[in-house]
Amino acid sequence: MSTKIVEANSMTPKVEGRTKMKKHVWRKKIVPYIFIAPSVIFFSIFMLYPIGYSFVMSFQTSVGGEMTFNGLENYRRLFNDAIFLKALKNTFIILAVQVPIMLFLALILAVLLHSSLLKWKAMFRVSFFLPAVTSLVAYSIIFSIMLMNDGLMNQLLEWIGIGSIPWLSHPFWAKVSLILAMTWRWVGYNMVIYLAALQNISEDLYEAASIDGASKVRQFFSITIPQLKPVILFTAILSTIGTLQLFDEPYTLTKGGPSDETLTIGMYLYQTGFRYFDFGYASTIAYVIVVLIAILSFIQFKVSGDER
Amino acid sequence: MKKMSLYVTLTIGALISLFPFYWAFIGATNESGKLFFKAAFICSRDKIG
Repeated sequence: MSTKIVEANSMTPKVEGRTKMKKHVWRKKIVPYIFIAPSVIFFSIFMLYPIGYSFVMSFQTSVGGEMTFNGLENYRRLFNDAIFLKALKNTFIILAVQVPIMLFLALILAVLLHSSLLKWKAMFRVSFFLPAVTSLVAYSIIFSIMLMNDGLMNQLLEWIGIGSIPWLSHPFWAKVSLILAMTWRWVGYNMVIYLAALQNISEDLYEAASIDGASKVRQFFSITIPQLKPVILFTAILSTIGTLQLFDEPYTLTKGGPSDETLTIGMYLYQTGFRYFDFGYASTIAYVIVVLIAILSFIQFKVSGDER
Repeated sequence: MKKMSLYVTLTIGALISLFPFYWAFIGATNESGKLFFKAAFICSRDKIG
């Protein structure tokens, strides 16, 4: 009997040690989950659940204020919807024209501002980046005032003898106005991204190229562009996503007019959801935008040959 | 010459970039009617009448 008690007593510290160890390991495993739990819970409630629910809603329609399942009817309706197709066309025109111009200007400005010849770099950088920190609505209002029929731009054009242009009331010029406004706002933002990437390119590469007799232009195309390729791809994808979701600028500048010529898919989504309260159809449009963004991003990855 | 053209290009770009801020300030400190008058003033003194 006494032998057993002695054995039990001699085992206790080992067992206790193991239990403590297990508790410690368990705590170590569980603590990170406890820390990330609040953000995961809020992310699930406010992001995952709406995303999932809007997917369900994209197969529903509102009948008498109640959502009823209608299968693929919303998707069928979408591809026969003339207004949606027009909005899609407008969005792609803006995407095809504005994004390349903006990225090209941003790249040129970044290269110029990276020049060792330049003084007052900070002042120039701030000047170009300032539009990016302006409120979207505020800058759209400024542009709408400047581009009015009696606005500053037209007075300036008349003064130099070109004559006034119906910036916001002509289908073509309304698109030009949007492109101008968006380019003004986003060039500085992309320029800063390129500038950061340029500062990471080793000077040794340029030095070696200079010794080999490469001109500045050759250095730009053979060193700068290849080194910036991942960043250019990144900005191209970000800009594509931004343009496909375009809403603020056309809403404030042109309200989608004249005759839906500047209506974008983002605006049409808003109108369908919050003007006509057709949330099922609006969810369908949202999912089509998601699919378009995924396809365009995939194409950009493939074209650039970046598999990372 | 190279340096000069660099400064000229960047200064023009910076002015274009900053002009809407100047115009926002003008808009914020003037009534709408006066704003168009200011635009006329910038473009041509003859129009002020």
